[in-house]
Amino acid sequence: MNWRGSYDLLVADGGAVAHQAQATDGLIEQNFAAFTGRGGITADQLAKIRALESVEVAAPLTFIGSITSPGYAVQVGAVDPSAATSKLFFTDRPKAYAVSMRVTADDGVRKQVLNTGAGALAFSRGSGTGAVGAVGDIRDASISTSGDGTWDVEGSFQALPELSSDVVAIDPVAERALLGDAGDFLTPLITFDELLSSGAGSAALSELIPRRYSYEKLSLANGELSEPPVPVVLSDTAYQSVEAEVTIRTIDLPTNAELFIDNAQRPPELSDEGAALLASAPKGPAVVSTTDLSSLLVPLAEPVLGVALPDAPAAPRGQLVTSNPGLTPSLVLRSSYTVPDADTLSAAPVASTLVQSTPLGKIILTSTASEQAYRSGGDAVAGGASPAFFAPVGEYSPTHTASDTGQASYVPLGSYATGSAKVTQPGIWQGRTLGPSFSGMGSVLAAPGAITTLAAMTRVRSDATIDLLRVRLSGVSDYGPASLAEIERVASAISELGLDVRVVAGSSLAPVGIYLPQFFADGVDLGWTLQEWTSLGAAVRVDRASRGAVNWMLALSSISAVVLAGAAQLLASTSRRKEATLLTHLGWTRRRIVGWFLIESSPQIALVVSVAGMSVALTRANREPLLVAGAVVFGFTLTAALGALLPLVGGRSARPLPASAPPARTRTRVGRRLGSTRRLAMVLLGGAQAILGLTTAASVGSLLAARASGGSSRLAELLSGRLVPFVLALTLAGLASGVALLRSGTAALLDGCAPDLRLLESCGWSRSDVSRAAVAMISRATLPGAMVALLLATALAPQLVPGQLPAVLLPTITVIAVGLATTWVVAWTRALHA
Amino acid sequence: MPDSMGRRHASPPAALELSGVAMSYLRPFGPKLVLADNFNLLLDGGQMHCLAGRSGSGKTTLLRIAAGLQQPTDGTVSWSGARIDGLSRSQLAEARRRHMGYVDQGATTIGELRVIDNVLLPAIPTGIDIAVEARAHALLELFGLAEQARQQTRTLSGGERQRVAIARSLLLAPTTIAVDEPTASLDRESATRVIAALRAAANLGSAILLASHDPALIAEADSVTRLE
Repeated sequence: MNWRGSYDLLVADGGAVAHQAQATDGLIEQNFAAFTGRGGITADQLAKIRALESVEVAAPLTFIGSITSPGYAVQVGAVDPSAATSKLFFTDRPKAYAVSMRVTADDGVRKQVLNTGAGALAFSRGSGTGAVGAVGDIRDASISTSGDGTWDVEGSFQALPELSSDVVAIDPVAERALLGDAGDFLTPLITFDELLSSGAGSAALSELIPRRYSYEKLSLANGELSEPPVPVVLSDTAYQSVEAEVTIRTIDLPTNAELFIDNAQRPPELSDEGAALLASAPKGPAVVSTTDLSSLLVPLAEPVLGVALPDAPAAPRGQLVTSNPGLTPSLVLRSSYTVPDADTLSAAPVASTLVQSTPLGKIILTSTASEQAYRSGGDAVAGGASPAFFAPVGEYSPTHTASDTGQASYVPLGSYATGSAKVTQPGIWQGRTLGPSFSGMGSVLAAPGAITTLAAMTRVRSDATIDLLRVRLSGVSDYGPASLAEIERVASAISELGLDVRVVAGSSLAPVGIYLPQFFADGVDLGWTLQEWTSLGAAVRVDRASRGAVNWMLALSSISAVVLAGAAQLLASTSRRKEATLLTHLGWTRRRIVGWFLIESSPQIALVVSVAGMSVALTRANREPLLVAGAVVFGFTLTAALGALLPLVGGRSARPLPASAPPARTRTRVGRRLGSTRRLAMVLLGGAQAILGLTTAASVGSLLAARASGGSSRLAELLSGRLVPFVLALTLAGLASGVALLRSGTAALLDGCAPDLRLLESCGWSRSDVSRAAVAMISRATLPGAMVALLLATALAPQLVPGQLPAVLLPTITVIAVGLATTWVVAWTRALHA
Repeated sequence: MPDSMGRRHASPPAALELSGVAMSYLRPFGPKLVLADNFNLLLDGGQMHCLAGRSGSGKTTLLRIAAGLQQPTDGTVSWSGARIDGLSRSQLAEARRRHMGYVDQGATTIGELRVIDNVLLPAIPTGIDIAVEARAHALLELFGLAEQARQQTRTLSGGERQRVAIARSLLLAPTTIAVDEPTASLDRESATRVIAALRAAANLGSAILLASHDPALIAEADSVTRLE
């Protein structure tokens, strides 16, 4: 089984990874690399690492900052398609509308009011033409006519606070090699970089921009940029749900009311008298429009939203207008994680790691340039300031990236995970899913981000160095000892460059319980949430545990086979004794007789050798199975030799009854005395009990140990699914041997004691009396085997489940298995004597 | 009803009565095997009767039928005047304790138990009291085994084990004792002691039904039925 992930080593400067994992049982947040911004790895070090033997891919990743948009606006207005003669806007009496707006965001457990506003939009008297003006929070009231004579009247509300999109830089060639087919979305970045470095013109570059980003495409094509553009691929992840509610009321104005709108002003202005008139005039019924803005909140996309005025045939298409735009790189800090309070633990979710989160908020790094993130059609990038121009050349879906690289071994240390937190705290929020937070409070989740190239990074932040390297080695096919030694060798070579190296070796996601205190504005805690974080090195632990489980089960199955075959040898000794006597009288030598008996045993010898060989083949390069196989063959050879020699060394000698033995004056004691004297049956039953008990305990223990070693990561989940059938098959083989042996032992005991039991019946014992004695006999005969099984389970428990599980688990399971086996034997005995 | 010797008894009822007993087996190939046909036997307490005949003549089968260990094909068996064919298993076990002691040809004792424990076996289901234990010791004394009482039975000779079995069969003073080939594998001295033990048992009042082809034992019996 190969649980290998995308890369084997994680390289950082100054213990960034170790610091992150210190308080969280070695687990680190998804995408944590996108939040570090530590830098520290130079291009020279990257080149040296790439030159190391066995390094197949060394993929760098650097957090640049956040593109922050200044805000979104909601357009309010109307379109009249009936040309300039329309009576909608300008008639012989003035018109006005009171407009209010409320924008709320839903992060899964609460609705936050992001913005509110109120104002009025007014139209003066006119015949065909007139003036439009706004008061209050409505801005940019305007009226325009399009080429086909359609009137377009609108004003805008500022709706949302700034949105930030994290930008990380990667080497697209190395990243694509790391992600395989899932990295196809990086191809435009590679092409863009190649065209840029080859001196291609703006027109050629603009061809790489999808039509969705039409204005960016147009701006680049027109060659309006003095600096090279920065290509980005954008995440299609949505922000949290945002909703705008716009309420419009008609203001009832007198026919001859004068609003004194100065339409020549930009924006048009309403006189103070006009504003006072609007405020005091009666208003009509409210018309409420609610619009979901969520799907519009995509980085660098142009939102389109229009709310129609009453009586208007349609809303304007609306173009977003922003003011004073600027690119503000900022650094979103991770939460500080500490041990949760004892009081909160009672409601903690089932997770291997529990922490308490204290969000540290967000800091602004520098304000390096001015750039309008969302330009209107009439604006152009101003020359001279040379702002960075982000050219969106493609999109990617973190969800698809994750699934393409395999859920089990996927390690989203880049910007390839959407991230979510499910509320598990009992109460009204339980089961809700938290989205990225606008407020910076609560759980830190990856906001929709963007990816650019290292070459472009130097144009945005020339001071930035590489935060992390993800290194994949060639020639590593699994996580066996040889592969791990090679990984450690390369890790050591990288450490000599002064860098911090962690062997991630197929990490996996695992659930983490996070307690969020003071989440709400009034200081109330949200409580426990559940996220998936990255468990470093899970594959190694899982692989090691699964190998251990398989080895133990193979060993037990092999031992079961040899005990069964050996029992057959011992059971045959009675009849062989008679045969040996006969053959001796016929003149056979002892050597010839032994040889004959060994030839009789050849099928069993073949069986044992096959089982041993299969064990070795299945576990390949491990030493343990070789030892087990050797022990199995030796054990059976010894048993076969005994089986061949015993018939020649005479019959059994009677064991004298100790003087201290209590009188057998009850049915139970008579039965026990009978059971204690059948040595062969006791050996068979003991072997059966040991096999049944240990096989059951080992199979359960192995699976639990494998699961515990891998933690509760996705890998461990996957392992359980794949390991169970294999262990189950071996368990069934072991149990079948045990049951066969149990049946043989019971039959040998009952057959051996049959004359005695018949004698008891002839003495006037009823069937139930005889049955009770028989049950006592069976119980006594199985007791030594049960004790042996228990002792072996206790002795082997540390080997089977090192540390992760309670020491009493295996003995407990053994007791249960042995108890069930004994119950079955007793039931069978009762049935025979009913 | 006349006994095998032609005598009639009004009361008390006979210790053992076999009336019209028949036993036959169907064989897959060949004619039906008839071991007994309309066999009648009436045995009073204190009498010793021997079933004699060659091997395979049905001696052991008749003995087991008389002891209630095997069902006849036809006829009835009565112990102390009570028929046993209608009894349930538990009733038969209880009746056997009171009326029938049985000594098998092969497994006469349980070798792993002490001699005294072997003798006490019939009393175990109902509980062993002082009187029963005293009777066990008395029987061992009677049969010359008092010194071996605490020995493991396996260590005794064949004749001694046979006498232990007879003592065990007498423990609850049954009205009848059925003994199968008691001297078959014994030397003459041991056989003589066993025959004496059987006579002693008869003297205690029990009816003794033997199956044997030992001339010495046949000669000792009060009556003999020869089976062909």
